Amino acid sequence: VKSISARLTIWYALTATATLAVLFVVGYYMLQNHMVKQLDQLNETQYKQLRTALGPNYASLTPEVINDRIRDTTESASTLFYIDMHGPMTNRFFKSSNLHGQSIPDIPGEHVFNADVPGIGLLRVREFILPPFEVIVATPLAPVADVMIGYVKVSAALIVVMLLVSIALGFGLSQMVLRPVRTIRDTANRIRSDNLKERIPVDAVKDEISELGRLLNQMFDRLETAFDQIRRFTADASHELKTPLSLVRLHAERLLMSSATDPLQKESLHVQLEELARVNQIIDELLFLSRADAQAIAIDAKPQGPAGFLHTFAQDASALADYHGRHFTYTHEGEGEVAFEEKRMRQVLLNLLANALNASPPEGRITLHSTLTGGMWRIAVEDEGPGLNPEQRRQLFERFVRFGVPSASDKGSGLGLAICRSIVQLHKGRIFALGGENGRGLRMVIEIPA
Amino acid sequence: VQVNGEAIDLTSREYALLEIFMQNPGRILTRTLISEKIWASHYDVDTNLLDVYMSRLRSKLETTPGKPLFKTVRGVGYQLL
Repeated sequence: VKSISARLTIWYALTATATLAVLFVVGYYMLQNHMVKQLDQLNETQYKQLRTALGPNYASLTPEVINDRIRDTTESASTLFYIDMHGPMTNRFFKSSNLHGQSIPDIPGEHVFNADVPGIGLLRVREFILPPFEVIVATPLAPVADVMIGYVKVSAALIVVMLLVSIALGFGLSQMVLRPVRTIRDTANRIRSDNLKERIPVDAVKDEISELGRLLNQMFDRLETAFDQIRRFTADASHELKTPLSLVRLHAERLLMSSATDPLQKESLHVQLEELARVNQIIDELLFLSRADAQAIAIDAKPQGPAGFLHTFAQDASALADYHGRHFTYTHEGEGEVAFEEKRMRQVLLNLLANALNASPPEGRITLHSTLTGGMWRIAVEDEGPGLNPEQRRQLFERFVRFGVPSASDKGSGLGLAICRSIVQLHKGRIFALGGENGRGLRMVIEIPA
Repeated sequence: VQVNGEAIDLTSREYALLEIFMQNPGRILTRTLISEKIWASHYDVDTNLLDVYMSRLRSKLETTPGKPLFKTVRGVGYQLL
């Protein structure tokens, strides 16, 4: 069984029910023993009455007198007794009529025992010596057996009830015990590289689980410190690299223009300049992200209708899609204005488009749906590519996260979507990925409050 | 725009691009410079949108085989010859 909750419930129910069952078994033997002892006492009382009835000189009485006296005594008894009295040579002096002529079997050496008499059933027998006679007094065991059957039935019913009750109790208890564990799980799942501020709520009460929460929080503290150091380092390093990089670029360009450079050298200068452009872009992206982290970026948002912006963007998007052998279409619905910075939003949409172009099969369709309703501008960019699983869709916006096989046409730094998210968040909006319709493709959704 | 007396339709983007070259004949224009003039943003390595428009402009204007109008300066930008 996978869940701890189910395991706890099963263990609890089994132990509780097994304990009750053992108690019932012990109770069974104690009750039986007690009832049989009472029968033994009854037998003894009956014998004492017999002896009193026979008087002190019983040995000289004739069998007829004995018979009469015993019958008087036994007939007044409320309980059913079987009495068998015989002399040393087994000559019978008395045998109760309810034995119907049968004898109670004797077990040599035993004075108290159980005996089975055919037609009468199981009897509790007690043997008394009244020299020269031997008196056997017996009582039926059937009432005891009846009580014990009743006891077993009641016990079985109670065990079933106990099983059900303990399953319910065990489930309730396990839910109670595991609640803080669930909180820890949910919080830990939410804490990602871009959300390191959150902490697990810890109870003031000191127990094993709050201790675990505290330890995890300390770990998150250390991680956050380490992350902040890395971020600061990245920001500083990118900043420091900017100036030398533009100098390198400047000199390479100058060499390229010089007539003294031969074609082979020019070729390697071209490659250098191309790669420098890439490095430059990565540094710009890193700088942007570290400034966004430090909340040092202001958005120059102007209220405007998105239709015009989308129309201009669609021109570039169609040109780009045609060039890559894909198709781009867009729709826009809704009137009104929304505040956004055109340049930044264009960057976001271009990035989503570039990703969609990379993911799309040849001749694939990329669609952009824009709606402005209910105070919300919603843009969805959908492609017909292979799509991503839910876990990948959650990680998509983290830095340097890349999915799919890197190809010649896809040389992104893995920062594009992190930047998109920063820009959208600067517009107080949110961006997220969904599965495409019909279970294929990827649908990137941006929501910006108007 | 007319090429060899023939009228050619250009989109607004293509026209803006051509305009920049006409204003700076013979000069090598960097990608960054062109991008900033047209899109008000730095050149984006990932989308190579500028290269896309250059190839469209060339296919429309360079009608004479063996006589290119534009020169690609790799790693730097483009030049109107």
